[in-house]
Amino acid sequence: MVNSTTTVDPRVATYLAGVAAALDDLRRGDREELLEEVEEHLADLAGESAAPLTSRLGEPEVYAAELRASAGLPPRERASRAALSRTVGVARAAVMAQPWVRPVLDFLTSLRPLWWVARGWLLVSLISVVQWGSWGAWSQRLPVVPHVGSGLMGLLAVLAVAVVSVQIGRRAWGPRGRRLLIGVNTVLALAVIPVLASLSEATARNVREPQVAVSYYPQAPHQGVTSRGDQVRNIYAYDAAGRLLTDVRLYDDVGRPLDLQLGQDPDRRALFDTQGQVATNAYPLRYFEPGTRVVADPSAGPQVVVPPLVPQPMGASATPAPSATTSAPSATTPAR
Amino acid sequence: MDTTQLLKGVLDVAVLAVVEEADGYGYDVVRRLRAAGLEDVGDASVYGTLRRLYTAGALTSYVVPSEEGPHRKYYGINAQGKKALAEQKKVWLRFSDTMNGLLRAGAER
Repeated sequence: MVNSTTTVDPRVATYLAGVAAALDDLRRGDREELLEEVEEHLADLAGESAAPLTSRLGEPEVYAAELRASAGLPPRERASRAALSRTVGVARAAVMAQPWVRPVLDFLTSLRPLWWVARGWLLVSLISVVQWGSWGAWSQRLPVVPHVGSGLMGLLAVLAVAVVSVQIGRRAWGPRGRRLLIGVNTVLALAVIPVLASLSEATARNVREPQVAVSYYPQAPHQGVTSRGDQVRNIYAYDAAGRLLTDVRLYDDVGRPLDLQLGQDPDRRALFDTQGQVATNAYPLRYFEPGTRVVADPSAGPQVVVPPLVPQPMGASATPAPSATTSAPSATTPAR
Repeated sequence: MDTTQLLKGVLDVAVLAVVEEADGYGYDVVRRLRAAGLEDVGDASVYGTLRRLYTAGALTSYVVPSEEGPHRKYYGINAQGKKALAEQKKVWLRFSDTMNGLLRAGAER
């Protein structure tokens, strides 16, 4: 049609464009062959008469529909679905052509028995979750086993269903059975989401349970020194007269320097003993003013009033008896 | 009665018969069908039928260049087309005999 295009009647061009648009979902080869003949036809008609083409042929869409119907081509709507499935087919072929796809698919195929067992577990777990909610759905003693009456019953149920599932997987099914299986598999694959969510929720709750918390506690020992649950950040010592002491060296009951474990701080004043060792246990800790080597208030302390102690000789009775303060030292009570 | 509905069923055999008579291009086949009395035949239907018969293997085709105007795609019948035509002709003749008998008998009553 190369040479004819130069002398195309405008009526032909317009009508042809309309027909072409109505065939635009067809495969390109089919479409071009059809349009070549349509153009030939339209040119013949235009050469015969000056009347508009539509008066003889109707609208381009009608012409195209008639052409498709008599040529055995699908109507436009169904054809676009066919075009979609053709596109999917092309994309699929392109993916399959990749060299890594086959080995990956083979590997996944070899994992099928694993899925057969997993979907058995999923089915029992899903029923358990739907039936009893996250809290009651899981066995407390057996991890990831759904609680069906008991954890053991749940385990047996999973095993029984898994056996059936494997048998189903090994059988060859007809097209109807296969379609049904695809549906069931899809539902169970989607069930992964609620089942795992429920499992993680139940597991998180178990961790918070006291019995588990006890075994958990020693894994994270508290650093430093605590008082009533709060970390101690400084220690102030007062003598019997109620005076704040400075640079008091403190040790624990086994002789280790008492360390508040506050970490490194360049502004903290460091003290050394006469042997050149750092004294980490001299309290209260003092801090320099930022950017200087000066402690602003060396006698700063907490807002407490410390009244002097009533003098009591060492080795006195341990019972704080306010009235009998002057009782004689007792040999029976060891001094602490 | 709407003859376009009747035409749908017999267009294949009609087109085969016309092409068997002599090779022809689309518009030529349309004109010959009309000249034979099938005035209601749709242009696009004839083109579509030619294409379908060709795709099914009942027709051959060849392009004839022309000096003025477009190239023409001619269709000719082949052995498979002839066989199909013979069978469809038989079916049609038996069917039309039956219909004629039925309708005439009805008219005589």
